[in-house]
Amino acid sequence: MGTRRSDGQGFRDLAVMLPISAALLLMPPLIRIFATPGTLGGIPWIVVYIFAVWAAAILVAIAVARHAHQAPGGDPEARSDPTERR
Amino acid sequence: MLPVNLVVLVCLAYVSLLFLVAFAGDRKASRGPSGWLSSPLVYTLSISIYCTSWTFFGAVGSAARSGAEFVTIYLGPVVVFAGWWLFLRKLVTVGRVYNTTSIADLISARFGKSPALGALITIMALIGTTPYIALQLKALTSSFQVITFPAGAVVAASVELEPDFVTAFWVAIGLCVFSILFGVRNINVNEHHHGVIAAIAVEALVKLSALLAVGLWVVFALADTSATVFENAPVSLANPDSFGTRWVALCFLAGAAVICLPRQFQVTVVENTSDRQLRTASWLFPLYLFLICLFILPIAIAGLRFLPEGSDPDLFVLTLPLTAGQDAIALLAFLGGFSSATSMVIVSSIALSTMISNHIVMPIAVGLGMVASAGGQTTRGFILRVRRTSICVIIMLGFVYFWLSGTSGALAAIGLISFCGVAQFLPSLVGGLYWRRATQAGAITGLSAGFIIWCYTLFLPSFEGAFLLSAEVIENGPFGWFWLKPHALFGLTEFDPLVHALFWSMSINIALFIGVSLLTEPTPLAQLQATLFIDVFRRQTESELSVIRRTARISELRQLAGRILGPEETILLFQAEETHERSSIASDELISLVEARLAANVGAASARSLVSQVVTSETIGVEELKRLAGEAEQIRAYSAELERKSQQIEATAAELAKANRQLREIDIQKDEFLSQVSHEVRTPMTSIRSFSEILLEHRDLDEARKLHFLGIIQSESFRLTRLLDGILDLNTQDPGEQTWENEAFDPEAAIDHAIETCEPLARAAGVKIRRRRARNVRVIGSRDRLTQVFINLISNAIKHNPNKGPEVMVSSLRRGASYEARVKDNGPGIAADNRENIFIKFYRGRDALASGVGLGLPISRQIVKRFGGELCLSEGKAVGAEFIVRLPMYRTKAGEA
Amino acid sequence: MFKTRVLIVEDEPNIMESLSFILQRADFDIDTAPDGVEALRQLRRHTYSALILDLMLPGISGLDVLRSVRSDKALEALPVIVLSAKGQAADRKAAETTGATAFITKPFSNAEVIDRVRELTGG
Repeated sequence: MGTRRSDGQGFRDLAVMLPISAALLLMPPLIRIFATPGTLGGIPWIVVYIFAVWAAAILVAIAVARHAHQAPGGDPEARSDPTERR
Repeated sequence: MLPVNLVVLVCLAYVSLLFLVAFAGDRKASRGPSGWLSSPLVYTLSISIYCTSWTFFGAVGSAARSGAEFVTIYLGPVVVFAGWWLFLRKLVTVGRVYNTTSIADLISARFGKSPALGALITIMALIGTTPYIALQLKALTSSFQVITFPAGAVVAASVELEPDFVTAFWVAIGLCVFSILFGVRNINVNEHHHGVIAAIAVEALVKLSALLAVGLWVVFALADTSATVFENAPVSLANPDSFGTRWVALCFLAGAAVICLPRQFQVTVVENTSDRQLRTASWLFPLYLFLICLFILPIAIAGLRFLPEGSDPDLFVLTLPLTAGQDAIALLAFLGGFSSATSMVIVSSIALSTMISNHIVMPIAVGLGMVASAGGQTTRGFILRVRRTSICVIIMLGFVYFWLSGTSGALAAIGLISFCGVAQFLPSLVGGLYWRRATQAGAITGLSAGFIIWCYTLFLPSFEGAFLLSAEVIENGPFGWFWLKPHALFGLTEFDPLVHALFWSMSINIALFIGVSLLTEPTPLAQLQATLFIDVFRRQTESELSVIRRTARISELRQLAGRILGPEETILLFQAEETHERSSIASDELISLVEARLAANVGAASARSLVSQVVTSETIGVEELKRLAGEAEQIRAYSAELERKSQQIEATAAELAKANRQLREIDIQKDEFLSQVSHEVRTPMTSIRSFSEILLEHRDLDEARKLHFLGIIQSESFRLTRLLDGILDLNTQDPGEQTWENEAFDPEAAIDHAIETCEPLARAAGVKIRRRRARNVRVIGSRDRLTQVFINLISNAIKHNPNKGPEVMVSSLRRGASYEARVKDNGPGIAADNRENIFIKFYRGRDALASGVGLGLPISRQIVKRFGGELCLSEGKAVGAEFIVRLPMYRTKAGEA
Repeated sequence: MFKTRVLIVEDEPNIMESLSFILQRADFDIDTAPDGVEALRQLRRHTYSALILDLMLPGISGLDVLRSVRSDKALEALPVIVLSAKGQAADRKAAETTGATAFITKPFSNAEVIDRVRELTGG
């Protein structure tokens, strides 16, 4: 019980943190750090950075979606699926 | 170039394929909508209508002109979908649970099923979307022109092509036919457009693979090696200045648009059938966008490098393979663009036609009494005709717009302008789903103000003086009032026009939405709707249905349902009711049910108007409503509280359990103690009674015998007295309660006295007592009490020693500032789990060896404590038990102990 | 004639003395044992008509002695009078289920002990 609840908590935190951190990473001022002329293997830093953050966001989103599937009771609000009502 | 006939043939073949897919989809859906039709993959692919021809052709153009900026249009949606848990989940659930038909329906339903709000949003959406449709038509025709240009692609890329309106017109007609055929077969929006969605999914795959094909070809064939792709990248790509306010504004706009665009709302919310779909889309849609964007920059850079100066970057995707003679890739690219444009137009027109029929035409028809007087199937037919006509009107409006503005550059920026227009829905949408206090007046004021500012600062100026606002006004403001200049309202000049318009329209929209909401009271119906929408994840209670009390005749209700829903569904709907009772008055539940079914067809606002026509009386229980809102609030607070307290409760429960255990143990100890006391008392009593009886009965005993027996009786009496004293001591031993004389004395004397006292006992048991002494020690306290402690320890050591050669060692020494005495035996020792128990009141060694253990140790420990010392068991693993008494030494004035 | 022989197992010397005195006066032959080990040794060595057994003994408890007695074929029928100073129902019950013939609570009346021994030894 204890672990399940903390799992649910962790998953909810992740689900909330994902868009916030993705937005922060992709907005100025953070993104400006990578707006430099250098390249990584011929690809400009800024391109590498944006697509890396993007890929990471997708991976975390996969984890969140998988977890949301496993623990549908993760959110106390969502304890009942309203669609069952009808 | 490619022959016109070939291109037309391929197009027709492709369209036929789409027809087939749509037809198969509808056929399958009619046999039960399951399987791949409602799979998360198809759902996600349908959401990708977000990528229109504006993406397919325009993203490369944008990348060629302004570097990384194109990517913002996709990052916003990525954040929104990756953050589905925060907002989309709620929005989609509300839409699914309440059979929402469009974004106008959802917002108007939330604010008390307001027809005005629905109409306002429909008009705004129509104005925002028409140019967008025109843009698709333009992309379709110009791509067709380029791919079939007689003088070859190189020339086509670099000359300004006169738009081919004939082609555009036929394309528009084709789109109308497709949309009508598969989009408006039934008026119930919630039966979902499975056929269309299936076709859209195919188109999504085509446009993705086309863009990937062009990208891969550019990277691996056109550029010599993939490493040199970025060699000619424009410096502007890494310019920090491109990541300023405009970057943030574009991300925000795109995020808002992916929710608020009518077509996106249609595919994401209206067509949604399960939570599973959204869960998958939360990562699959970002992945789709990722793949779409992957090759945009390489294609743009290659275009700038290989195509002649002045080529239209918006057509690089097509002209690059054309110039290189890669006709197959070019054709695929053309089909990709064709797919992205057509899918957008089809879904947009379907979504808008639903909105127009439900929120503009229906309210007027209901108001004029047309629905009430129409009979049977007429109303359904009427609605279908309205929808079909709307689709034609919308697409043709797009065509006319394209025709009128075709030669100007006005279309180029229309994507973002459209985004900014629909973003005005966002405050009402978000506020409606989270803020109970939001009112209809607030939403209408905010939306109108935002819309007017958007028109004035962005939409109208985009015509560059050709429509309503003259170039003069755009440049200098109306009547020369510079502070009303459309691109610098109130002198705000430092932003570019888009950011400027977004700032003013959104700030004023939000400010008025909140401000007016706070100043006005929501209607009871709006309050009820707010509760239903905001608490959509909470299981709804019966009491919510009973908030609205209405009366209507079943016959009239049935007639009404028949007109909109058709005979089959009406019969099903009323079946249960009729078998139940033959009453002529409909129950509240039935009325609500009919209204919900109607709402799924014509929208909540129109459904309410329709039902109101047959309802003879209506009351909304304001008190009920307040209680309901209060309940919801309480439940929310309660669950938060519960969450917070559950840990506390757990801890408390653990403590209680521990205390309980201790109590139970004490109880057992008490029982054992009483049993022990009973034994201790009964033993001397036995001797006393027995010998008294002997003395009474046997008068013939000699004197010596008599005396001996009397002696026994006397000593056993003393034993009894001591025992009782001990018990009393135990209960009054709390510090301070007993008189306690303090004197400095030599503890060795106390030990000597104790050994002396125990001598007879030791002799009887054959125990040898050995002694080692300390010198010059003084402690302070009660000498008699300390003696008592040692008597107890030594007698215990004697009694509990079944060893063959029993021995007790009493040793004492000085250790630092304390005096330490040890009493050690060579008996069995004390079991580890009993080490502390033996010091507890009422505790007696579990393996009852002999009598007398029960009372001494707790008392002794208390006494030693009062000396400021401690009594404990030695930790040593040696044979036997070793008790240690540690006492602080008494210091004289000289500091000598 | 032979006197009836009784073994008394008791760790309290005074009680032992009183029991010995009254039973001797009642014309019984008395052997004594201060603990269970000694008692079992004596039981094996001699034949007794009855056993008077205290429950609270150092080392092997009275109940253990009784258990060994009852598990021994030769001693199965030996009348055993259990003495207990605790006198709780639980102790009486434990003694009876283990095989005590009689149960006497301390402090006892001398007459009761003598009567009971006589009764059980058929004397």
